Amino acid sequence: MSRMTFPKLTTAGMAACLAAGLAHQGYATLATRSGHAGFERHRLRCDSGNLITYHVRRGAAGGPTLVCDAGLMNSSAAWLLVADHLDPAISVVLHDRAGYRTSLRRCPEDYSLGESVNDLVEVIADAVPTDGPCVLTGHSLGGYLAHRAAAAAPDRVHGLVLVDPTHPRELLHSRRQREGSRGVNLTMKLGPWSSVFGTGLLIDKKGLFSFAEGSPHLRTLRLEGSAPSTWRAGRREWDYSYAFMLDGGRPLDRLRIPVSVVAADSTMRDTPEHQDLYDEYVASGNGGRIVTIPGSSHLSITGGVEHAPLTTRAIEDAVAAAAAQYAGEDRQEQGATA
Amino acid sequence: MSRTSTVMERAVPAILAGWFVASVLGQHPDRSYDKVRSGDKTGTGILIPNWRFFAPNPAVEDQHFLYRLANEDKTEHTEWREVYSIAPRKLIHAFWFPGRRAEKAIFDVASTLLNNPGAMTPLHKEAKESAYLLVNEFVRRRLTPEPGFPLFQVLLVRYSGYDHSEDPKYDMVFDYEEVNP
Repeated sequence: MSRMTFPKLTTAGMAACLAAGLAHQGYATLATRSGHAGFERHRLRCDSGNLITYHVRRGAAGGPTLVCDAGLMNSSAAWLLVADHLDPAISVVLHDRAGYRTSLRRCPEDYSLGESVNDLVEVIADAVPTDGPCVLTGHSLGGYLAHRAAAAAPDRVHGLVLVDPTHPRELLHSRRQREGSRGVNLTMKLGPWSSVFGTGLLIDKKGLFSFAEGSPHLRTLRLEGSAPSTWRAGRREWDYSYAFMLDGGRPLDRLRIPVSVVAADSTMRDTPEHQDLYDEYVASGNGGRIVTIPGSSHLSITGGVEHAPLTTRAIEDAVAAAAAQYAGEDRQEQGATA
Repeated sequence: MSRTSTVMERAVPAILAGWFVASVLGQHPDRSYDKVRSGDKTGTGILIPNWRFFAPNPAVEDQHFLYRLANEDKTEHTEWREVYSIAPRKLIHAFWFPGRRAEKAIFDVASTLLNNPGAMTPLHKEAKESAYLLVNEFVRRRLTPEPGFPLFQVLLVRYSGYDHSEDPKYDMVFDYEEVNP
Protein backbone atom coordinates (compact mmCIF):
# COMPACT_ATOMS: atom_id res chain seq x y z
CA MET A 1 0.00 0.00 0.00
CA SER A 2 1.39 3.39 -0.91
CA ARG A 3 2.16 5.69 1.97
CA MET A 4 -0.45 8.40 2.64
CA THR A 5 1.51 11.64 2.73
CA PHE A 6 0.25 15.06 3.71
CA PRO A 7 -0.09 16.35 0.09
CA LYS A 8 -1.97 13.23 -0.94
CA LEU A 9 -4.31 13.40 2.03
CA THR A 10 -4.92 17.13 1.49
CA THR A 11 -5.67 16.66 -2.20
CA ALA A 12 -8.00 13.77 -1.41
CA GLY A 13 -9.74 15.83 1.29
CA MET A 14 -10.23 18.84 -0.97
CA ALA A 15 -11.51 16.62 -3.80
CA ALA A 16 -13.94 14.91 -1.43
CA CYS A 17 -15.22 18.30 -0.18
CA LEU A 18 -15.66 19.57 -3.74
CA ALA A 19 -17.49 16.39 -4.73
CA ALA A 20 -19.78 16.65 -1.70
CA GLY A 21 -20.45 20.33 -2.45
CA LEU A 22 -21.26 19.66 -6.10
CA ALA A 23 -23.49 16.72 -5.20
CA HIS A 24 -25.34 18.91 -2.70
CA GLN A 25 -25.64 21.69 -5.28
CA GLY A 26 -27.02 19.24 -7.86
CA TYR A 27 -29.49 17.82 -5.37
CA ALA A 28 -30.62 21.32 -4.35
CA THR A 29 -31.11 22.28 -8.00
CA LEU A 30 -33.19 19.14 -8.64
CA ALA A 31 -35.25 19.78 -5.51
CA THR A 32 -36.21 23.25 -6.76
CA ARG A 33 -37.63 21.67 -9.94
CA SER A 34 -40.51 20.02 -8.10
CA GLY A 35 -43.94 21.60 -7.70
CA HIS A 36 -45.73 22.35 -4.43
CA ALA A 37 -48.08 19.79 -2.89
CA GLY A 38 -51.73 20.81 -3.32
CA PHE A 39 -50.95 23.29 -6.12
CA GLU A 40 -51.32 22.96 -9.89
CA ARG A 41 -48.28 24.11 -11.80
CA HIS A 42 -48.71 26.37 -14.85
CA ARG A 43 -46.24 27.74 -17.37
CA LEU A 44 -46.59 31.08 -19.15
CA ARG A 45 -44.43 32.63 -21.84
CA CYS A 46 -44.49 36.36 -21.19
CA ASP A 47 -44.00 39.18 -23.68
CA SER A 48 -40.56 39.74 -22.16
CA GLY A 49 -39.59 36.26 -23.43
CA ASN A 50 -39.43 34.86 -19.89
CA LEU A 51 -40.96 31.47 -19.16
CA ILE A 52 -42.75 32.00 -15.88
CA THR A 53 -44.05 29.25 -13.62
CA TYR A 54 -46.91 29.88 -11.24
CA HIS A 55 -48.68 27.58 -8.81
CA VAL A 56 -52.45 27.66 -8.27
CA ARG A 57 -54.64 26.30 -5.48
CA ARG A 58 -58.29 26.76 -6.38
CA GLY A 59 -60.70 28.06 -3.74
CA ALA A 60 -64.41 28.75 -3.97
CA ALA A 61 -65.70 29.56 -7.48
CA GLY A 62 -66.29 33.30 -7.86
CA GLY A 63 -64.40 33.92 -4.63
CA PRO A 64 -61.34 36.09 -4.11
CA THR A 65 -57.91 35.20 -5.49
CA LEU A 66 -54.70 36.07 -3.68
CA VAL A 67 -51.59 36.46 -5.87
CA CYS A 68 -48.31 36.27 -3.93
CA ASP A 69 -44.90 37.59 -4.94
CA ALA A 70 -41.83 36.73 -2.85
CA GLY A 71 -38.87 38.86 -1.87
CA LEU A 72 -35.31 38.90 -3.14
CA MET A 73 -33.63 35.45 -3.01
CA ASN A 74 -37.01 33.90 -2.26
CA SER A 75 -39.44 32.01 -4.44
CA SER A 76 -43.01 30.78 -4.23
CA ALA A 77 -41.83 28.46 -1.43
CA ALA A 78 -41.56 31.47 0.89
CA TRP A 79 -45.37 31.79 0.79
CA LEU A 80 -46.21 28.14 1.44
CA LEU A 81 -46.60 28.51 5.20
CA VAL A 82 -48.95 31.47 4.79
CA ALA A 83 -50.89 29.49 2.16
CA ASP A 84 -51.20 26.58 4.63
CA HIS A 85 -53.00 28.86 7.10
CA LEU A 86 -55.11 30.68 4.54
CA ASP A 87 -58.87 30.16 4.30
CA PRO A 88 -59.31 27.40 1.64
CA ALA A 89 -62.13 29.43 0.06
CA ILE A 90 -59.51 31.92 -1.16
CA SER A 91 -57.77 30.86 -4.37
CA VAL A 92 -53.99 31.24 -4.16
CA VAL A 93 -51.53 31.96 -6.95
CA LEU A 94 -47.84 31.66 -6.02
CA HIS A 95 -45.58 33.24 -8.58
CA ASP A 96 -41.90 32.53 -9.27
CA ARG A 97 -40.12 35.46 -10.86
CA ALA A 98 -37.78 34.79 -13.78
CA GLY A 99 -34.74 32.81 -12.68
CA TYR A 100 -36.24 31.32 -9.52
CA ARG A 101 -37.09 27.61 -9.35
CA THR A 102 -38.39 26.55 -12.79
CA SER A 103 -39.10 30.07 -14.09
CA LEU A 104 -36.59 30.76 -16.83
CA ARG A 105 -35.23 34.16 -17.78
CA ARG A 106 -35.19 34.47 -21.55
CA CYS A 107 -35.50 38.26 -21.87
CA PRO A 108 -32.77 39.47 -24.27
CA GLU A 109 -32.42 42.85 -22.55
CA ASP A 110 -30.65 43.82 -19.34
CA TYR A 111 -32.73 43.26 -16.24
CA SER A 112 -34.97 45.99 -14.84
CA LEU A 113 -37.68 45.88 -12.19
CA GLY A 114 -40.16 46.80 -14.94
CA GLU A 115 -39.53 43.37 -16.48
CA SER A 116 -40.65 41.59 -13.30
CA VAL A 117 -43.64 43.93 -12.97
CA ASN A 118 -44.81 43.21 -16.53
CA ASP A 119 -44.36 39.46 -16.03
CA LEU A 120 -46.45 39.63 -12.84
CA VAL A 121 -49.22 41.55 -14.64
CA GLU A 122 -49.29 38.83 -17.31
CA VAL A 123 -49.48 36.11 -14.65
CA ILE A 124 -52.47 37.89 -13.09
CA ALA A 125 -54.17 38.10 -16.49
CA ASP A 126 -53.54 34.40 -17.11
CA ALA A 127 -54.18 32.93 -13.67
CA VAL A 128 -56.90 35.01 -12.03
CA PRO A 129 -60.56 34.44 -12.99
CA THR A 130 -62.38 37.63 -13.97
CA ASP A 131 -65.51 36.79 -11.97
CA GLY A 132 -64.01 37.49 -8.55
CA PRO A 133 -61.81 40.02 -6.78
CA CYS A 134 -58.04 39.78 -7.00
CA VAL A 135 -55.80 40.82 -4.13
CA LEU A 136 -52.07 41.14 -4.67
CA THR A 137 -49.58 40.57 -1.89
CA GLY A 138 -45.80 40.83 -1.90
CA HIS A 139 -43.07 40.40 0.66
CA SER A 140 -40.00 42.65 0.76
CA LEU A 141 -38.93 43.44 -2.85
CA GLY A 142 -42.03 41.54 -3.98
CA GLY A 143 -44.09 44.14 -2.10
CA TYR A 144 -42.71 46.98 -4.17
CA LEU A 145 -43.16 44.97 -7.38
CA ALA A 146 -46.75 44.17 -6.37
CA HIS A 147 -47.42 47.89 -5.83
CA ARG A 148 -46.19 48.69 -9.32
CA ALA A 149 -48.10 45.76 -10.82
CA ALA A 150 -51.30 47.03 -9.17
CA ALA A 151 -50.72 50.40 -10.85
CA ALA A 152 -50.08 48.69 -14.18
CA ALA A 153 -53.28 46.60 -13.97
CA PRO A 154 -55.83 48.85 -12.24
CA ASP A 155 -58.84 46.95 -13.59
CA ARG A 156 -57.62 43.54 -12.45
CA VAL A 157 -56.31 44.22 -8.94
CA HIS A 158 -58.82 45.09 -6.22
CA GLY A 159 -56.63 45.16 -3.14
CA LEU A 160 -52.97 45.21 -2.14
CA VAL A 161 -51.26 43.83 0.96
CA LEU A 162 -47.56 44.66 1.33
CA VAL A 163 -45.72 42.46 3.81
CA ASP A 164 -42.70 44.30 5.24
CA PRO A 165 -42.15 45.78 1.79
CA THR A 166 -39.08 47.37 0.27
CA HIS A 167 -39.60 51.06 -0.36
CA PRO A 168 -37.68 52.71 -3.23
CA ARG A 169 -36.48 55.49 -0.92
CA GLU A 170 -35.52 53.35 2.06
CA LEU A 171 -31.76 53.61 1.51
CA LEU A 172 -31.97 57.41 1.33
CA HIS A 173 -34.39 57.59 4.22
CA SER A 174 -32.61 55.32 6.67
CA ARG A 175 -28.90 55.38 7.41
CA ARG A 176 -29.15 52.04 9.18
CA GLN A 177 -30.73 50.48 6.12
CA ARG A 178 -27.94 51.88 3.94
CA GLU A 179 -25.29 50.48 6.24
CA GLY A 180 -26.99 47.08 6.39
CA SER A 181 -27.34 46.98 2.62
CA ARG A 182 -23.55 46.98 2.21
CA GLY A 183 -23.31 43.60 3.94
CA VAL A 184 -26.03 42.29 1.63
CA ASN A 185 -24.07 43.71 -1.31
CA LEU A 186 -21.01 41.60 -0.40
CA THR A 187 -23.12 38.48 0.02
CA MET A 188 -24.84 39.03 -3.31
CA LYS A 189 -21.56 39.66 -5.12
CA LEU A 190 -19.94 36.45 -3.92
CA GLY A 191 -22.99 34.19 -3.68
CA PRO A 192 -23.56 33.19 -7.32
CA TRP A 193 -19.96 32.08 -7.94
CA SER A 194 -19.67 30.42 -4.56
CA SER A 195 -22.82 28.40 -5.15
CA VAL A 196 -21.46 27.05 -8.44
CA PHE A 197 -18.68 25.33 -6.48
CA GLY A 198 -21.14 23.83 -4.04
CA THR A 199 -20.39 26.15 -1.14
CA GLY A 200 -24.03 25.95 -0.14
CA LEU A 201 -22.83 23.26 2.26
CA LEU A 202 -20.64 25.84 4.01
CA ILE A 203 -23.49 28.26 4.70
CA ASP A 204 -24.50 28.31 8.33
CA LYS A 205 -28.09 27.49 7.47
CA LYS A 206 -29.06 26.59 10.99
CA GLY A 207 -28.58 30.22 11.94
CA LEU A 208 -29.73 31.66 8.63
CA PHE A 209 -33.03 29.78 8.64
CA SER A 210 -33.61 29.74 12.38
CA PHE A 211 -36.66 31.95 11.72
CA ALA A 212 -38.34 28.93 10.03
CA GLU A 213 -37.53 26.38 12.74
CA GLY A 214 -40.42 23.92 12.98
CA SER A 215 -41.87 24.88 9.60
CA PRO A 216 -42.81 21.97 7.32
CA HIS A 217 -41.21 23.94 4.47
CA LEU A 218 -37.85 24.54 6.16
CA ARG A 219 -36.05 21.94 4.03
CA THR A 220 -37.35 23.48 0.80
CA LEU A 221 -36.16 26.92 1.89
CA ARG A 222 -32.73 25.58 2.88
CA LEU A 223 -32.21 23.76 -0.41
CA GLU A 224 -33.17 26.86 -2.41
CA GLY A 225 -30.32 28.66 -0.68
CA SER A 226 -27.86 26.20 -2.23
CA ALA A 227 -29.19 26.38 -5.80
CA PRO A 228 -27.04 28.55 -8.11
CA SER A 229 -30.17 29.66 -10.01
CA THR A 230 -31.53 31.30 -6.84
CA TRP A 231 -28.26 33.20 -6.37
CA ARG A 232 -28.06 34.29 -10.01
CA ALA A 233 -31.64 35.58 -9.97
CA GLY A 234 -31.08 37.27 -6.62
CA ARG A 235 -27.86 38.91 -7.80
CA ARG A 236 -29.54 40.22 -10.98
CA GLU A 237 -32.38 41.75 -9.00
CA TRP A 238 -30.10 43.07 -6.28
CA ASP A 239 -27.69 44.79 -8.70
CA TYR A 240 -30.53 46.70 -10.30
CA SER A 241 -32.54 47.48 -7.20
CA TYR A 242 -29.49 48.52 -5.12
CA ALA A 243 -28.48 51.20 -7.63
CA PHE A 244 -32.15 52.11 -8.09
CA MET A 245 -32.66 52.63 -4.37
CA LEU A 246 -29.35 54.43 -3.83
CA ASP A 247 -30.53 56.87 -6.46
CA GLY A 248 -33.83 57.41 -4.65
CA GLY A 249 -35.99 55.17 -6.83
CA ARG A 250 -39.10 56.86 -8.15
CA PRO A 251 -42.30 58.23 -6.58
CA LEU A 252 -44.98 55.70 -5.66
CA ASP A 253 -47.87 55.33 -8.08
CA ARG A 254 -51.30 56.49 -6.96
CA LEU A 255 -53.78 53.63 -6.66
CA ARG A 256 -57.56 53.53 -6.39
CA ILE A 257 -57.60 50.40 -4.23
CA PRO A 258 -56.95 49.79 -0.51
CA VAL A 259 -53.25 49.40 0.27
CA SER A 260 -52.43 47.68 3.58
CA VAL A 261 -49.00 47.10 5.10
CA VAL A 262 -48.17 44.16 7.38
CA ALA A 263 -44.99 45.24 9.14
CA ALA A 264 -42.37 43.18 10.95
CA ASP A 265 -41.88 44.14 14.58
CA SER A 266 -38.08 44.20 14.14
CA THR A 267 -38.33 46.64 11.24
CA MET A 268 -40.49 49.06 13.20
CA ARG A 269 -38.31 48.72 16.31
CA ASP A 270 -34.84 48.89 14.71
CA THR A 271 -35.61 51.42 11.99
CA PRO A 272 -38.50 53.53 13.31
CA GLU A 273 -38.08 55.85 10.31
CA HIS A 274 -39.73 53.07 8.27
CA GLN A 275 -43.06 54.21 9.70
CA ASP A 276 -42.96 57.22 7.30
CA LEU A 277 -42.38 54.95 4.33
CA TYR A 278 -45.17 52.57 5.30
CA ASP A 279 -47.49 55.54 5.88
CA GLU A 280 -46.63 56.66 2.36
CA TYR A 281 -47.55 53.23 1.02
CA VAL A 282 -50.94 53.29 2.77
CA ALA A 283 -51.54 56.88 1.61
CA SER A 284 -50.82 55.85 -1.99
CA GLY A 285 -54.05 53.84 -1.96
CA ASN A 286 -57.66 54.32 -1.11
CA GLY A 287 -57.97 53.09 2.48
CA GLY A 288 -55.93 50.35 4.13
CA ARG A 289 -53.88 50.34 7.32
CA ILE A 290 -50.64 49.22 8.92
CA VAL A 291 -50.64 46.05 11.05
CA THR A 292 -47.51 45.12 13.00
CA ILE A 293 -46.93 41.43 13.78
CA PRO A 294 -45.58 41.30 17.37
CA GLY A 295 -42.16 39.70 17.76
CA SER A 296 -41.71 39.09 14.04
CA SER A 297 -38.62 39.70 11.92
CA HIS A 298 -38.37 40.51 8.22
CA LEU A 299 -38.21 36.80 7.33
CA SER A 300 -40.23 35.20 10.11
CA ILE A 301 -43.24 37.31 9.15
CA THR A 302 -43.97 34.87 6.31
CA GLY A 303 -41.79 31.88 7.23
CA GLY A 304 -42.00 31.64 11.03
CA VAL A 305 -44.43 29.15 12.55
CA GLU A 306 -45.40 31.67 15.22
CA HIS A 307 -45.82 34.69 12.97
CA ALA A 308 -47.11 33.31 9.64
CA PRO A 309 -50.62 32.63 11.09
CA LEU A 310 -50.84 36.25 12.30
CA THR A 311 -49.69 37.53 8.92
CA THR A 312 -52.26 35.28 7.25
CA ARG A 313 -55.01 36.74 9.43
CA ALA A 314 -53.99 40.28 8.46
CA ILE A 315 -53.99 39.28 4.79
CA GLU A 316 -57.40 37.61 5.13
CA ASP A 317 -58.81 40.81 6.66
CA ALA A 318 -57.51 42.80 3.71
CA VAL A 319 -58.89 40.23 1.26
CA ALA A 320 -62.29 40.38 2.97
CA ALA A 321 -62.31 44.20 2.78
CA ALA A 322 -61.34 44.13 -0.91
CA ALA A 323 -63.97 41.45 -1.61
CA ALA A 324 -66.66 43.51 0.12
CA GLN A 325 -65.69 46.60 -1.86
CA TYR A 326 -65.66 44.54 -5.07
CA ALA A 327 -69.12 43.13 -4.31
CA GLY A 328 -70.43 46.65 -3.67
CA GLU A 329 -69.01 47.90 -6.97
CA ASP A 330 -70.41 44.84 -8.74
CA ARG A 331 -73.91 45.52 -7.35
CA GLN A 332 -73.65 49.17 -8.42
CA GLU A 333 -72.65 48.12 -11.94
CA GLN A 334 -75.53 45.64 -12.16
CA GLY A 335 -77.94 48.32 -10.88
CA ALA A 336 -76.69 50.77 -13.48
CA THR A 337 -77.08 48.14 -16.22
CA ALA A 338 -80.63 47.30 -15.07
CA MET B 1 9.19 0.00 13.83
CA SER B 2 6.95 -0.03 16.88
CA ARG B 3 3.18 -0.05 16.64
CA THR B 4 2.98 3.41 18.29
CA SER B 5 5.27 5.03 15.77
CA THR B 6 3.30 3.47 12.89
CA VAL B 7 0.07 4.89 14.26
CA MET B 8 1.71 8.29 14.76
CA GLU B 9 3.13 8.22 11.25
CA ARG B 10 -0.37 7.78 9.83
CA ALA B 11 -2.37 9.85 12.27
CA VAL B 12 -0.24 13.02 12.24
CA PRO B 13 -0.42 13.67 8.46
CA ALA B 14 -4.14 12.81 8.51
CA ILE B 15 -4.87 15.26 11.34
CA LEU B 16 -2.77 18.01 9.77
CA ALA B 17 -4.37 17.44 6.36
CA GLY B 18 -7.84 17.60 7.92
CA TRP B 19 -6.90 20.80 9.71
CA PHE B 20 -5.53 22.30 6.49
CA VAL B 21 -8.67 21.40 4.52
CA ALA B 22 -10.87 22.88 7.28
CA SER B 23 -8.76 26.07 7.17
CA VAL B 24 -9.10 26.36 3.39
CA LEU B 25 -12.88 25.88 3.65
CA GLY B 26 -13.02 28.58 6.31
CA GLN B 27 -11.55 31.31 4.09
CA HIS B 28 -14.73 32.51 2.37
CA PRO B 29 -14.85 36.32 2.72
CA ASP B 30 -18.57 36.28 3.52
CA ARG B 31 -19.29 35.33 7.12
CA SER B 32 -22.48 33.51 6.13
CA TYR B 33 -20.17 30.68 5.00
CA ASP B 34 -18.58 30.17 8.41
CA LYS B 35 -20.15 26.77 9.10
CA VAL B 36 -16.76 25.05 9.23
CA ARG B 37 -15.32 27.74 11.48
CA SER B 38 -18.21 27.27 13.87
CA GLY B 39 -16.66 23.85 14.56
CA ASP B 40 -13.89 25.66 16.43
CA LYS B 41 -15.29 25.37 19.93
CA THR B 42 -12.62 27.55 21.53
CA GLY B 43 -14.81 30.51 20.58
CA THR B 44 -11.72 32.46 19.50
CA GLY B 45 -11.45 31.30 15.89
CA ILE B 46 -7.81 30.50 16.57
CA LEU B 47 -7.99 26.87 15.43
CA ILE B 48 -9.55 27.69 12.06
CA PRO B 49 -8.41 31.26 11.34
CA ASN B 50 -9.52 33.45 8.45
CA TRP B 51 -7.30 35.76 6.41
CA ARG B 52 -9.71 38.62 7.13
CA PHE B 53 -7.79 38.89 10.37
CA PHE B 54 -4.77 40.28 8.49
CA ALA B 55 -6.10 42.19 5.49
CA PRO B 56 -9.80 41.81 4.93
CA ASN B 57 -10.04 44.14 1.95
CA PRO B 58 -6.76 45.33 0.45
CA ALA B 59 -7.24 48.85 -0.94
CA VAL B 60 -7.42 48.72 -4.72
CA GLU B 61 -9.74 51.67 -5.27
CA ASP B 62 -9.93 55.36 -4.45
CA GLN B 63 -12.74 56.77 -2.37
CA HIS B 64 -14.56 59.72 -3.93
CA PHE B 65 -17.11 62.00 -2.37
CA LEU B 66 -19.66 63.38 -4.82
CA TYR B 67 -22.34 65.89 -3.93
CA ARG B 68 -25.52 67.23 -5.41
CA LEU B 69 -27.57 70.28 -4.48
CA ALA B 70 -31.28 70.03 -3.74
CA ASN B 71 -34.15 72.49 -3.46
CA GLU B 72 -36.09 72.99 -0.22
CA ASP B 73 -38.55 70.10 -0.70
CA LYS B 74 -35.88 67.78 -2.19
CA THR B 75 -37.77 67.28 -5.43
CA GLU B 76 -35.16 68.91 -7.68
CA HIS B 77 -31.47 68.12 -7.72
CA THR B 78 -28.38 69.15 -9.62
CA GLU B 79 -26.17 66.49 -11.20
CA TRP B 80 -23.65 64.69 -8.97
CA ARG B 81 -20.41 66.70 -8.80
CA GLU B 82 -16.93 65.79 -7.70
CA VAL B 83 -15.71 67.40 -4.49
CA TYR B 84 -12.05 66.95 -5.38
CA SER B 85 -9.98 65.03 -7.91
CA ILE B 86 -7.54 62.25 -7.07
CA ALA B 87 -4.11 63.37 -8.29
CA PRO B 88 -2.63 61.12 -11.01
CA ARG B 89 0.44 59.41 -9.59
CA LYS B 90 3.97 60.40 -10.70
CA LEU B 91 7.38 58.96 -9.86
CA ILE B 92 8.20 61.93 -7.63
CA HIS B 93 5.22 61.01 -5.44
CA ALA B 94 7.23 58.06 -4.16
CA PHE B 95 9.49 60.60 -2.41
CA TRP B 96 7.42 63.74 -1.89
CA PHE B 97 3.64 63.92 -2.01
CA PRO B 98 2.13 66.25 0.59
CA GLY B 99 -1.19 66.30 -1.34
CA ARG B 100 -1.62 62.65 -0.36
CA ARG B 101 -2.55 63.76 3.16
CA ALA B 102 -6.04 64.84 2.13
CA GLU B 103 -6.60 61.65 0.14
CA LYS B 104 -5.40 59.50 3.03
CA ALA B 105 -7.64 61.36 5.46
CA ILE B 106 -10.63 60.82 3.18
CA PHE B 107 -9.78 57.15 2.81
CA ASP B 108 -9.57 56.72 6.60
CA VAL B 109 -12.84 58.55 7.22
CA ALA B 110 -14.56 56.52 4.52
CA SER B 111 -13.21 53.33 6.10
CA THR B 112 -14.69 54.36 9.45
CA LEU B 113 -18.06 54.72 7.77
CA LEU B 114 -17.87 51.56 5.69
CA ASN B 115 -16.30 49.06 8.06
CA ASN B 116 -18.33 47.12 10.59
CA PRO B 117 -21.70 48.31 9.25
CA GLY B 118 -23.49 46.25 11.88
CA ALA B 119 -21.42 47.51 14.83
CA MET B 120 -23.68 49.68 16.94
CA THR B 121 -21.73 50.06 20.18
CA PRO B 122 -21.70 53.60 21.64
CA LEU B 123 -18.06 53.90 20.54
CA HIS B 124 -18.81 52.93 16.95
CA LYS B 125 -21.82 55.23 16.87
CA GLU B 126 -19.72 58.12 18.15
CA ALA B 127 -16.99 57.43 15.57
CA LYS B 128 -19.49 57.30 12.74
CA GLU B 129 -21.34 60.46 13.82
CA SER B 130 -18.01 62.31 13.92
CA ALA B 131 -17.12 60.95 10.48
CA TYR B 132 -20.45 62.09 9.02
CA LEU B 133 -19.95 65.59 10.49
CA LEU B 134 -16.39 65.74 9.18
CA VAL B 135 -17.32 64.69 5.64
CA ASN B 136 -20.30 67.02 5.47
CA GLU B 137 -18.14 69.94 6.63
CA PHE B 138 -15.41 68.97 4.15
CA VAL B 139 -17.92 69.03 1.30
CA ARG B 140 -19.70 72.15 2.53
CA ARG B 141 -16.45 74.13 2.33
CA ARG B 142 -15.73 73.01 -1.22
CA LEU B 143 -19.12 72.95 -2.93
CA THR B 144 -20.25 75.60 -5.41
CA PRO B 145 -23.59 76.93 -4.17
CA GLU B 146 -26.45 77.79 -6.49
CA PRO B 147 -29.50 79.97 -5.82
CA GLY B 148 -32.66 77.98 -5.13
CA PHE B 149 -30.72 74.97 -3.84
CA PRO B 150 -30.29 75.38 -0.06
CA LEU B 151 -29.51 71.70 0.60
CA PHE B 152 -26.80 69.28 -0.42
CA GLN B 153 -26.30 65.57 -0.23
CA VAL B 154 -23.10 63.53 -0.32
CA LEU B 155 -22.52 60.23 -2.12
CA LEU B 156 -19.55 58.01 -1.35
CA VAL B 157 -18.23 56.22 -4.42
CA ARG B 158 -15.37 53.78 -5.00
CA TYR B 159 -13.58 53.96 -8.29
CA SER B 160 -10.32 52.36 -9.40
CA GLY B 161 -9.20 55.48 -11.28
CA TYR B 162 -7.07 53.49 -13.75
CA ASP B 163 -9.52 51.04 -15.28
CA HIS B 164 -12.17 53.14 -17.01
CA SER B 165 -14.10 50.11 -18.22
CA GLU B 166 -15.13 49.44 -14.64
CA ASP B 167 -18.25 51.12 -13.30
CA PRO B 168 -18.00 53.15 -10.07
CA LYS B 169 -19.43 51.44 -7.01
CA TYR B 170 -21.94 53.41 -4.99
CA ASP B 171 -21.32 52.84 -1.31
CA MET B 172 -23.33 55.29 0.69
CA VAL B 173 -25.70 58.23 0.36
CA PHE B 174 -25.70 60.72 3.24
CA ASP B 175 -28.65 62.56 4.69
CA TYR B 176 -29.45 66.02 3.32
CA GLU B 177 -27.55 68.93 4.90
CA GLU B 178 -27.94 72.68 4.67
CA VAL B 179 -25.46 74.54 2.47
CA ASN B 180 -25.49 77.47 4.95
CA PRO B 181 -26.40 76.13 8.40
